[in-house]
Amino acid sequence: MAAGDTSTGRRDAATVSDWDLLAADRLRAQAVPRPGRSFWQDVWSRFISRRMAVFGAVILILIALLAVFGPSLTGRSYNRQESSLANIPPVLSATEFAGQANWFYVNPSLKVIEVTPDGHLVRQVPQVSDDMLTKRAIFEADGTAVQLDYSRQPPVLLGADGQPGERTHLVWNADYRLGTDALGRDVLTRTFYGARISLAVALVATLVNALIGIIYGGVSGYVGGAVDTVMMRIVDIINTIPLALYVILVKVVLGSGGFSSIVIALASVYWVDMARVVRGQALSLKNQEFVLAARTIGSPPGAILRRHILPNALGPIIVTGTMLIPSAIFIEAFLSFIGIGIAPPMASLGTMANDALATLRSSPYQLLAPTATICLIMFAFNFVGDGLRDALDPKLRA
Amino acid sequence: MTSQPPGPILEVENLARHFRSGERRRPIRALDGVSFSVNRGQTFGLVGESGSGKSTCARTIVRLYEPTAGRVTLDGADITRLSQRQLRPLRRKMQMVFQDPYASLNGRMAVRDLVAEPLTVHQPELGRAAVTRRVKEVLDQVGLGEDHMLRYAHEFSGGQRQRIGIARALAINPELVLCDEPISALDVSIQAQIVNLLRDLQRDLGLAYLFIAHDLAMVQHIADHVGVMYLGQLVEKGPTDRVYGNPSHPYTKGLLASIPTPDPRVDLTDRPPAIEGEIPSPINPPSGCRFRTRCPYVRDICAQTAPKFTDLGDGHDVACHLYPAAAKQDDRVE
Repeated sequence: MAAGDTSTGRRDAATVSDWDLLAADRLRAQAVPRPGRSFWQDVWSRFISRRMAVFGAVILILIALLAVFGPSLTGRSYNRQESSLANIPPVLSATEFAGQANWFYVNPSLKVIEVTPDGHLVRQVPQVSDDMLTKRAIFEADGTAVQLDYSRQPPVLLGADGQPGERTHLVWNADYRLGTDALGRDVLTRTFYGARISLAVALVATLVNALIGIIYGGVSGYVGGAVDTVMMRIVDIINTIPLALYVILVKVVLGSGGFSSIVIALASVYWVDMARVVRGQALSLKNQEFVLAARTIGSPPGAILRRHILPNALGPIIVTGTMLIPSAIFIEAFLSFIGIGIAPPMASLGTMANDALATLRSSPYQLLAPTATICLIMFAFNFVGDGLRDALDPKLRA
Repeated sequence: MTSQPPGPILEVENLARHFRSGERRRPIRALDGVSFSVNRGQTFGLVGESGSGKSTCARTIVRLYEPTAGRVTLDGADITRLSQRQLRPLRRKMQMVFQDPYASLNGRMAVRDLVAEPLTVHQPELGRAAVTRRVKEVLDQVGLGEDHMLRYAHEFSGGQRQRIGIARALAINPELVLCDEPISALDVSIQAQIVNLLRDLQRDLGLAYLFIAHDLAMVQHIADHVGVMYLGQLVEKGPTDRVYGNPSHPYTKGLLASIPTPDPRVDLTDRPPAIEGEIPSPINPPSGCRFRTRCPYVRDICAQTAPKFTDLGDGHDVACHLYPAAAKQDDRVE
């Protein structure tokens, strides 16, 4: 018998009472049972407890629904022009004359529009004569003459007797809820089409980031070494060429304009920022003990990437994604705004904003619709992204 | 302990691992020629201060690091030159418990999935229900209940987390478990629980342990054999009671002298001096005996040649010029 045997016996005697494990049922008696929930149930409950995130998600869903079904609700198309009803705002200041059932509205280009009291546009009233000297134009409406005195600012409508109208009313434009643009197209319908393009761009950016960026960056970071160096130099090269240049190049090569060139340009290069972020995360995570543990278990590299590295990099991935998606939307709007994106007559929020610039002073409402929509979409994506990031972190479980 | 020791499950011969250092292109000789073996069902304790290469040794054995030189034989098979793919089936026999129970568990996975991971890799034929049953079984073995299965690691204390780590290592019935300082991140009271759990599991399952620690008292408590590492090399190894009862290398003596004695009546005056100074850089280790810069018994020869292992009897080997080379010539290089 070795000496170690006796000392072992002595130690056992000293430790058995104090340090032995509790019986398993005693341990369990102390545990407070809690219904088990899966990871995604947890994520969901954390997400819906965040008011701003839910608000953002609701806004996004609404915008998406309107983008898809909106045009069929208005019954108009993005390119139908009604040039006699151009530049009509959403709210009309209409003048009522005694003995006339309908009211009259003067638009910024000094056309007189006949409006029903409940806000429907009847027609543009034909002009009979125009006296440039006195700055008075005569319009003929249902046998009654209406005078427009444009010597004053703003112009004033006078009756046939030269007296001002009875009253002035503010009425909602019942035919074009957000008014018409300079070519007489429905701003609301065009905004729906613009949102449709923005969301399509967001979808492309998401897919590209998720499919290429995350995998590329994950492989580069996890494999490391020479592979990493080569992959990251490729990213550097791609990153030095501005996106606008890509769009122009793609446009030239394809000979086709608009949406497809933006999609192709985004799809080919828009994943590099995500790849960088994921690579950095993979580099720092791959030496963490839980990754080493997975390697000693024998998990293959693909499984380690999928089960250990990417889930732990989810926070930065989502933060980056929620920054990249709005900026992709913004890039499309910007390119369309400067005229190398979506081609007319297709409506994009960017082309609408550009069109609105020409009539900015007389019809500012035309700029409001596309810009407000861009703002809403970007805010909504940011709120949803913040909420998702928090919801996906189990350490924040309440 | 039986007089006839069972065969080794793990043999390590002249294992070395050098890292590239940024400066001057000289390698960091973190592990530099270490030989020992772990017997089936027994515990080999590896001790030494921080930076002595203990963890590097364990990580090189499981091929987290590629060995620079030397050989690792697991259950009779040389695993040193196998590719990771070839090594995968052999990993069933060898699992690892990590030092930091907070970092070694993936915070995104529920306990069930953490413990099930080795099963999904090595027994993909098992169905979901069978995996869950096995997870319940090992959780029960380490003193956790099945109601813990759907929780995440951050909901547990350090000791419970280390139990999860042990359960994960045990899920596929390994024969050898490498414990890389499994208790140093835990509270003292929890340390005893975990060590006793490891001992019980060894008794019940016939596990072999490579137990790495810097807590010498704990190693004495659990190990059958012990090896003392200094600057990437073993300086003394042998049966635990021999090494602790008759520490022979000046470094071992100094280490043992540095164990605090909880009894104020013990006379400390005749203790050997505790070691002073810092461990030298493994980029530029001292010539000859690596311990000579801190050794109280240093002589001229220590700077010239590295000491070879001398057998003091009963498998108790020491590498020091104080003990003239006996008949046994160990396989030590340099």
